[in-house]
Amino acid sequence: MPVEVPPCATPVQLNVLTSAEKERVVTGVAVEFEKESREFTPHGCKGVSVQVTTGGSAREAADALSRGWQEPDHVPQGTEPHVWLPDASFEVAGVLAALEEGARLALDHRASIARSPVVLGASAELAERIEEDGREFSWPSVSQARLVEPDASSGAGLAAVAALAHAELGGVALDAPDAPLRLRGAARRTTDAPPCEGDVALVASEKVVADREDCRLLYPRGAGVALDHPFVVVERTDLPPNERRRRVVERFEEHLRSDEAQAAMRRAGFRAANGTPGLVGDPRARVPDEEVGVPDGEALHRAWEAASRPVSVALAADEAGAGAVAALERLLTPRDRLVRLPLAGGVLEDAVRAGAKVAVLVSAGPIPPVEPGTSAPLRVVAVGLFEGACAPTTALYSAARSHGGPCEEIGPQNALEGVARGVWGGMT
Amino acid sequence: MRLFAALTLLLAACAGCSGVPDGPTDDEGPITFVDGRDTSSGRQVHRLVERWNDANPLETVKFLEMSNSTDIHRAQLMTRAQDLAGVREGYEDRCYDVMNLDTVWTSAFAESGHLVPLPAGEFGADRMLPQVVDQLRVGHDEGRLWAVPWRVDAGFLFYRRDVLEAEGEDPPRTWAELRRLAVEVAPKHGLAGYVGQFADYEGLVVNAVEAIWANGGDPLRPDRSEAKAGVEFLARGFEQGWIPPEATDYREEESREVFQAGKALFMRNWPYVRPLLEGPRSAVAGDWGVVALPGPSALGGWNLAVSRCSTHQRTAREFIRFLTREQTQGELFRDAGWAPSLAGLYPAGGAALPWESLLGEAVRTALPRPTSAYYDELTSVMRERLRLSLAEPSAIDGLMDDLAERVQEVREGR
Repeated sequence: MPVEVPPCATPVQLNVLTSAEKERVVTGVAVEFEKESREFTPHGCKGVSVQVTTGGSAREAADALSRGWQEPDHVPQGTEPHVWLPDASFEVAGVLAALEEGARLALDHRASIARSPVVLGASAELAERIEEDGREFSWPSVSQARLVEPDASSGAGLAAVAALAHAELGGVALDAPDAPLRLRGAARRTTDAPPCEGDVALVASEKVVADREDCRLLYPRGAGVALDHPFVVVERTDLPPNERRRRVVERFEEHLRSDEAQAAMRRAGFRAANGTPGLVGDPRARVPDEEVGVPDGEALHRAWEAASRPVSVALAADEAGAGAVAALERLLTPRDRLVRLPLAGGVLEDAVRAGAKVAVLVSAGPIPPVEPGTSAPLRVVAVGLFEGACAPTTALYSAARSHGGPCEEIGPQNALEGVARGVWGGMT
Repeated sequence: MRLFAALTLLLAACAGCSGVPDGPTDDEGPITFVDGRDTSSGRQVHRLVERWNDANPLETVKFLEMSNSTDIHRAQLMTRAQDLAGVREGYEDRCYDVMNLDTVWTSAFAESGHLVPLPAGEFGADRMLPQVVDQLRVGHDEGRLWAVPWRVDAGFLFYRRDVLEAEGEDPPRTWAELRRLAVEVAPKHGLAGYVGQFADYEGLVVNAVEAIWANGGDPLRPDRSEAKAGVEFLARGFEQGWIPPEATDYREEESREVFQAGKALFMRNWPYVRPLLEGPRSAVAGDWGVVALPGPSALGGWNLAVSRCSTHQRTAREFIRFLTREQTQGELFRDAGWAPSLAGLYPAGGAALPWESLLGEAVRTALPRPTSAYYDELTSVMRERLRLSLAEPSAIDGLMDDLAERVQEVREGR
């Protein structure tokens, strides 16, 4: 008589939150893992049911993790994850730093399951002009090119921003006095034009650039930013430990590191966890000599958002500020709005009436009292180009303080930096 | 279709299969109710919960909304059920006491021991649509249900009445007629012939299963010629162009948007689109009609179940009675357009408006999709082969033979 086979137990539900860039390959690997689960489950039963999600965006999902993936997060972000596969470890560091007390969530940050350096995608025409030995380029050589605007809401996009910031600032020192000015300069060069046509280049992960047949892959000379695609275990601490799922999570990690899954990663254009190049396009074997760290992804995101958002500015300057005014105008884009106003007592209300959200007052000498009240919210940035300009008794100081903005006392040669800090600094 | 008799035996052998320790479970007190996102006109589910809470201050209901994606909705319910299997004490507020389950998931939750059997008589099951109730019985036990039917759904064929009238044509009664009109009439008016739900999700299975039934096939035997003919009908539609290629990305909303924008002659969709087609943003308001699908419709629906982890099961059952009682279902029928599970709410004879008659007939004749404790896997393997079949009609024969083997394995949980 044949032995009776008992019915199969319900598969363990495993929810995997992944970055959008890896969604397709992770979904495929998850299907293979479900099939493989028949080998480690009694009687050949399917042992795992995997749900792969991406959240509303990587940033929104990270915020939800920081809150502890609360009940209101289920509609916009999806099911609570057991495994998180972000693009980069700086995203994990950001969540760990922001994890609210009582969030009832624990993260176990583990090693990479894939890699992908940030590279430049260039048209053949642009590549011919800027390519150096070893398929490299130097950032100054693309200073005249336009760059496709990175999507800073994804880990990969933020890594591209980090690469731009590194190129502009010589590091990712966001607290440097000229950082807002330099980042604004970089943001101003971005475009929504199609990449790899003429002088429009794409700063993105090697995987994304390799996927495009119209882009030539070029690698930055010197240090570069790399996406390290970590494996992160997520456990709720307000629920009893689920030992069956824990075992499945361990097996899933093993599966992702298996030869088959690593080959799938490479076929999708990622590098294997050990750095072996992907199989899409023509990636270079060598990885950057030195990796640029991203110590604070949240600060970088804030700085970039501030530098790249459209502004509506009212500018009131005396003659000494004229140079700064002219330079400021060169930093604006067609999406921005600038109105010039006389530096008079009613300047703030005039700015509101002109539709400005920010008023910048630049003066080389004391200004007459400014009427502080306005009929609508307005941020006021005051820049004084003389000693004592921002003493508490001055009109510049009063105007700025009464509208939540800074008063900066700086030399004329740094006036533009001061204005840029006020307009595009992280606080505006 | 009933759950397997074996399940009854399994359950009878251990009342408390999930290992939940003995303790009071039939108490009254606050509970959590989980449903999909409340997109009904006037947020009817929120309104009902508020009404309940006003009347029951000691047995309040916390309403949790889940993702619009039913796959994600199911995953969260299963996750929590598995996390709380075998425990109650200390986690009462984490339990999803009352869950609204898609008909096709219910057996998976039941077979896993996550649901409490409910006395059918307590919920007036004998007054509900029998084909819906039968899906939810505990084995052959007439007296117990795994869940109580709440919302019922059936597919319909929406058509451009103005176009057919201009051509002197009637709405199609067979798929062959539909194809002829889609091929001959639609292009003359610059329209796509037919749009349905063919994206890579459950809607693809529903649309394919309906095509299989229309050809006399059995979705669980896709290797048979009738089933292959049903899938081929759709695949040839794509090949011949009377189903537009973009439809491989359409879910309910995408197909509605195309039809509502006046770009398609025929559309298969659910009743929720009716008010939208007549709404201010519709380009076809007043110019469309609706008839039954040429073949059987898949029966859709949502059922209310009590979780085994619940300690306030008396309140949970009372809340389900509140949601499924005649007054509430009548209001939801009227205000949200939801087809009720109570048979008596479908007016008969001269009392019925044309739409009410049509809806009543559709839900009475709709066929249930295959149920399985492994439905997510079943639908996954079906989707994979169906997508390939629609892209390559000449491969259907082999793909459907392969699918038949996989379907059999999956139904056994292997």
